[in-house]
Amino acid sequence: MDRNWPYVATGYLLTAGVLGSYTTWLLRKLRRADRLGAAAGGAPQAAIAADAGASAGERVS
Amino acid sequence: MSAQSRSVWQTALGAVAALAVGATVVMALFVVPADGGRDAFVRGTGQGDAYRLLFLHVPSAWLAYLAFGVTALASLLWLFPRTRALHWDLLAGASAELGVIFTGLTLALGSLWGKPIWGQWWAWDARLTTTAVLFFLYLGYLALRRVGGSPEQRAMRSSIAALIAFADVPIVHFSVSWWTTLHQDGSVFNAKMQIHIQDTSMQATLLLGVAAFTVLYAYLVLRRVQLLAVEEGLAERELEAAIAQRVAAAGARPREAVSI
Repeated sequence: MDRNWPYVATGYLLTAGVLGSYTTWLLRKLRRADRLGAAAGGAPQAAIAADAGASAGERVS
Repeated sequence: MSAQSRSVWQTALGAVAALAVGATVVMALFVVPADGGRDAFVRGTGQGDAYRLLFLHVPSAWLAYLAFGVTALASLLWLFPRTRALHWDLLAGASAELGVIFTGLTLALGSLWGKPIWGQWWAWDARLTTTAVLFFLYLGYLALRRVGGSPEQRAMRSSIAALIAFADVPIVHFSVSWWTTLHQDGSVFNAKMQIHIQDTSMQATLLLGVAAFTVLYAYLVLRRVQLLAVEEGLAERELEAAIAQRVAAAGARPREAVSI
């Protein structure tokens, strides 16, 4: 690595941080929503989100 | 497709995305040679190690185009009465969110590359400026989605906003051809569609990066749409519970209370 390595390292760490944080946040929210859905006595996540169509995919006139 | 097989398929997609992104990082940091400026690039840029940032910058920029393209397409499908369905609106919102993240990364990585190569963090160059405008346009789009109203009202206003914002994407892409810019022309192909990068390992790493980020986008957008669908389902149930609670408190029959 030449003298530009701090820029390169910052770029890679920044990308890992942003994408890693977003993915972690997303998967945690999904798990939490799954638990809440089950606790509320409603349909489980899989049924609600089935190809994003079970709840939201109905035709809207 | 059953819920279980869908879950397995999604986990596999996530694993492929993680592996591909990991392989891109290894290739970009440890396999491809530093840019010596003699053989690697047609113009002999001699960027040393700084050019390794482009293995993330270019895929991020591609992903921003793709994500906003999907948002525009999903918005069109919502606006077209024959295909109107709320899942297109959820897809548009999820994709725009990822587009904003990747546009932000594109700007940040470009800035980190620009400091050692151009000698400055930022220039009011046509490509950079139109990309910054794109970033803020879609931030506005995401803010617009949070304004109240029914899901149908939200879908209608945000679909129109998405199509207006998408007009900036071709301006960003062709800005390096239309104007004299500090930003170079295409990283893989130049304006005359001549291959810009000569080194085979650099080409392979760049293409791997583009493919890896595309798979990652597919995985994330799928999961984000699921979360939005779940949240909307939960919100509906919470609303129904609140209505039922008020109806019970008023001692009225549900149908009468709702009709009032």
